[in-house]
Amino acid sequence: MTSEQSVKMYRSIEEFEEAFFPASFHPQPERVAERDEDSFGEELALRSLDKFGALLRL
Amino acid sequence: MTAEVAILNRNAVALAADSAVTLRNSGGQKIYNTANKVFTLSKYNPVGVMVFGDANLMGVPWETIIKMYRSELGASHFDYLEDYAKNFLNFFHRENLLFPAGLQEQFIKDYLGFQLTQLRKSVRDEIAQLIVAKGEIDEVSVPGIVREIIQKYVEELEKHESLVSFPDEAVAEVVATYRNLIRELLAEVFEKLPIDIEQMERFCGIVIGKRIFVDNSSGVVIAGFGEKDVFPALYAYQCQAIVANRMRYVQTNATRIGLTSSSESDASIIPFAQREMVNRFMEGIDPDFESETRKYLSTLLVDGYPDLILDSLKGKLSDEETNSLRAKLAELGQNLSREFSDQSVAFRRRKFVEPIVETLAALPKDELAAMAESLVNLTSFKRRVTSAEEDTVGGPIDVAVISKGDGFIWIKRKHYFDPALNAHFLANYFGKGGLR
Repeated sequence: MTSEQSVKMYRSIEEFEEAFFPASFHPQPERVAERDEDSFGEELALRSLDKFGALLRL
Repeated sequence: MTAEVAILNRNAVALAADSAVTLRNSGGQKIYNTANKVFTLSKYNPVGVMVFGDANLMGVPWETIIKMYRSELGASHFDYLEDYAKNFLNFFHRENLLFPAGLQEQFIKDYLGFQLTQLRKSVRDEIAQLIVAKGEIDEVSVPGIVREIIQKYVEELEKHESLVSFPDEAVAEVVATYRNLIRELLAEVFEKLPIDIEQMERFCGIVIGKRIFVDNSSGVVIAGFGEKDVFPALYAYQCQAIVANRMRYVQTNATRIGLTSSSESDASIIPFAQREMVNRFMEGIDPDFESETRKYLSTLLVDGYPDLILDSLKGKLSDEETNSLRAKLAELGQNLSREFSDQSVAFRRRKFVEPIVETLAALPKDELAAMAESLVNLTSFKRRVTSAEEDTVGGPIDVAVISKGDGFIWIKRKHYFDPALNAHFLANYFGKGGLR
């Protein structure tokens, strides 16, 4: 195997995401539920920030 | 939303606030006109406080926070109003019942989780653009690319103002305290992306210690007199959260009424939250309209008018002459636009602001209260009759006047109960340890 062959190339952002963000790229149903519990991800984090006060505005 | 007004002169400071509170939930939003937004900060000394924005700080109602502070403050007093403000903001710099460690950790987790998720999104988008531009990237170059992109964000965020309550050593302490939590967040958000942990800790430190506020924050306005203040003062803050027993806040206003110093004024009207009607009243023009007019005129003078002139000279000038004339005309246009802006400000000041402030400086206490109430009422009325705006300002208007001699006096105050049925409330108001 040449050194050129051993270097992985990414030709699309999907390939890149699959390699570096595998959990988000292939979300497991139980993983999604777990994240919901953790209040994580952009939307979930915002929802979580909401619980600290943004729901009731003067 | 809220309309609040503070009016200060050498006699007193008047505070007025509406009672609207907006409750948002998954089904939409409801507006109630029952919120209290003006409080005494001390039961014994002439200091008041108004709140707007989020009704809670990390889930704890501001009314509870203020009343717990007031209870602890008791009859203690400070020389200057600013000392009251500092003491209030430092109220959380210790273990406390209001914001236990678990709640603060939960906030850090959610706040950093949000910021890191945003960063990941930005990194992902930039890498997507890079792949499109270059056709491909190889795995060996990924750590360097990621580091470079994140460094750009770190350097940009570092330009933000530092929070007074988070000097460098405090930020380092927070990062050290929550190091394990940060590592867990990094692993979860960035998954297998090769990140530089030290750089990411720096990023976390910056978003904690700099003036970077997500949507949720509350305004806190403290007004009145310290023992040695002859004239009133006002300090306003934007507050977001308690992190490591420190308040994340920035000062947004500091006004002192005085006789001599250039930093002091004779009188002042300061609106908070929904400010546009007070600005119209004071300056004779809507701030949005003024800003649009200025922008439009600038575009006309810098681009539009030079283009018309150059079009009419088409064919008569060489390219070099055209470019040179365009640059000269643009410069002239900029100067004219600036002159218009300066003249406009001077006219507004002379014609509208100064006559009001001159009268304001001599207004007696009851007139200050009437004026503050009228300005809040004006905002509420305008929203009520404007189709594009919701009635997020409304309900009874609470009004208080604070003076050196009389202290904190309620001019108008709604109660959610009938005082006649609750004689014990008034009888116990100055009771030891009471939170009322």
